[in-house]
Amino acid sequence: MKKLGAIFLLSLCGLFLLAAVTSLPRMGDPENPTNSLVVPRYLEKGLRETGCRNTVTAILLSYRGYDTMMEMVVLFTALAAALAILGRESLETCCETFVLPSLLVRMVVVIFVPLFLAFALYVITHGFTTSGGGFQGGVIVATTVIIYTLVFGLDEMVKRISPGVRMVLESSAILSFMLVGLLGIALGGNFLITTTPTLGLSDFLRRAILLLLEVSIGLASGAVIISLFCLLKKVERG
Amino acid sequence: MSTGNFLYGVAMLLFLIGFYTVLARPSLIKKIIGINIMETSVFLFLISVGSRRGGSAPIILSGVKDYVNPLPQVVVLMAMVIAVGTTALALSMAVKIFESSGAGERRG
Repeated sequence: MKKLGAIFLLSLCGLFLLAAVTSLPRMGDPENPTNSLVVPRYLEKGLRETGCRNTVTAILLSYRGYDTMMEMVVLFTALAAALAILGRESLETCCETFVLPSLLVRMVVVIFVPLFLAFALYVITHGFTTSGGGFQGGVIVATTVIIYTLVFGLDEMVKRISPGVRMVLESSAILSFMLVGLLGIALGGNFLITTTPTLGLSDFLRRAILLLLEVSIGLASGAVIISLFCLLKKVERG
Repeated sequence: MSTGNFLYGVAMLLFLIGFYTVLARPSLIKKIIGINIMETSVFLFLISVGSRRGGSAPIILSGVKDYVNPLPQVVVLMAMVIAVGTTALALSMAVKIFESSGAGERRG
């Protein structure tokens, strides 16, 4: 009965979707409104106004800076709510019997973790000129730490990256966005206008501010994902 | 429907699969997986709306004229990060529900 109701609702929803999909314009057409209205402005002036060759980074950090800041707030809030439900992992519950995998697996992880971290650093700092950026690099950092945790156990990881360190990193992105935003007000503009050329900062300084934002986004998103992984991993041993 | 629009159809199909999983599966974990499938379909739809035939990645280089639309890519990047947050929150709620209602009761 329940399945029948679900299928009825689904076919209704599918009919509406089908009607919408069939009346959409052809995909990839240069004449589409998505390709002809807002975007030429970003593509033509993005490089001059923000100094980023990568337009995605330019939009993320400069044109839609508010959006990125509030997104970090959303991520932070999700972590805070998850922590309020389950609680942070603690070092006291150290008495688990964790079986280390074979020597081969451990050696491969020990050799590759520094390389992964170097790649993450490259992705974060070269987000202006190549495809990449803070979020992508942060996720690579988090994945590396998760691989390390799966091989060496949660306690070994928590000893190296303590909850106190992660607590600082998790809030770093919001704090640096606030700092950059207030810097814009202090220099006589609006909030978060710091990286636009209207304020007359030198190119080097604008680049440094964008790099600060990028690195702090990377660290914060990485730390948040690591913390979320830890608090779900903690459940496994009760 | 023209043949160029088949990605929209794939996105629609993925959305319906995710919706069915949410509606018809009793297990909480599978409902969360269904929500994730729906999110993925929306990402696919947004990215394919922003595509442009013959366009290259939106990294400004001399000599390249056509770029794909960078705006959906930004939006999808943000939506992915938020999807991670909501999924983790939903999973931790599911864990709490399992704990308080007796473990193993709603498994499967």
